[in-house]
Amino acid sequence: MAAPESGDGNNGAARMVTLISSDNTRFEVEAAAASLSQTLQLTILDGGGGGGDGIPLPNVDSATLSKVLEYCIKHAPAAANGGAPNATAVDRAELERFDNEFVNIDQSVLYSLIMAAHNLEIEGLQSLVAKKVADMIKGKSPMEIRRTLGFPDPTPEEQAEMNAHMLEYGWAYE
Amino acid sequence: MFPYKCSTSRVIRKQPSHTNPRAKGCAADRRKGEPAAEMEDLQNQDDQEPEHPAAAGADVLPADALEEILRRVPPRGLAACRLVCTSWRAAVDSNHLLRADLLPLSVASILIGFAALNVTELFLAPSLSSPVSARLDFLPRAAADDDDDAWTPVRDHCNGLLLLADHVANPATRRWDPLPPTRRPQGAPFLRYDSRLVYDPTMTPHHYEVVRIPTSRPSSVHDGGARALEWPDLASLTNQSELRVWVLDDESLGVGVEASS
Repeated sequence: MAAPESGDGNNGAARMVTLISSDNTRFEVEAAAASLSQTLQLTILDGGGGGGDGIPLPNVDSATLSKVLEYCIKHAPAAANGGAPNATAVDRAELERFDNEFVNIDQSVLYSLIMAAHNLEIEGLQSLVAKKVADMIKGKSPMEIRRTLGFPDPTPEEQAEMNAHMLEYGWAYE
Repeated sequence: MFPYKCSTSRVIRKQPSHTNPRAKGCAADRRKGEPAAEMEDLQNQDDQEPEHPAAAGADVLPADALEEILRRVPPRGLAACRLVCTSWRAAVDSNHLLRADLLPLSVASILIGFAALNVTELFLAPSLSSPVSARLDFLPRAAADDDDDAWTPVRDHCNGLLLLADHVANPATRRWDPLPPTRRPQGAPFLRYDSRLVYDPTMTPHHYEVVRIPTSRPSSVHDGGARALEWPDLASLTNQSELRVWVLDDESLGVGVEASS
């Protein structure tokens, strides 16, 4: 990918940082991409993650981190343009296509992504995965939602509670 | 499979939204201040069950990640989400996500159109706590038209929105949106359209559609006229940009992020 104009005076060559997953895999990635994470941004601004140091991410395994970084690298140029006000429709369509494809994944991976996006505070990714889950929920009954998300069958107490609350917002089940 | 835990011991600290129907803006305020408090709840919850620290299926979505998801579910879906489990119901209620007070639960007003006179009257239920004015004086008018009582005839209405000749308006929020100009097909300059408004706030609170249906043939039927009678292109008439304004403003509903970001 093209190095974004980050304007932090690094003489053209994109600054790289190293991230270390929970299973000790090292990922070298451009600082601009990693900075999509609010959590990492401060460390990187302080000059961390460069050289042989690396930033340890004890909550993110390598499979998830590689997926997260795939998102960050794709979205870094647009983010560097301040939300890409001058992006062409083609660029936007391409990002949208990428996003749709990106969340077309197994539920366990999706769940790991939710947790990682949450821990790393990557706003765009948080929105993307939340929208994906919301789309999975839409138009489903409570039981269908439970099954879709792999919840166990409700206990008799839970079932009773469900029935009790069924009367509220009755219009929604017409 | 999503790791799952649904603790019935979770404390519901906030009143459900429907007991506080006029709390506009509360959702937005909470966005700034409350996630930390929600995390505390989560922490407490974990503390209560330390015997399953990392067992599969013993995890739960972080409170604000769950809120992010639920904020993207339309009201009808949220009602179903409330029944999924106790913590989901707490998340919907404590974040005031389901604004049942703003959904069409009862008849609040009746519109009567006098077709021959081209006027419309709005009759309001006396019990309305915040009366809605039938005056559409917030709409832009042609400069020459300074008659206060001038009523723009209402072409159609749907769940609280009014379709006028050139605008869609919400008399309750006093917000409006101009309609895109009708693109008349070549060769059919006198084609007439019947306009209809489609809006279901329980499914898409921020989206409505206007459908224009050709109703009359041009006086002389020729090739151009025949083509013009085909079903209109719905996509070109769908007002995609209006994701924000109709039920209430972004902050108070707390689901306008997609539109504003």
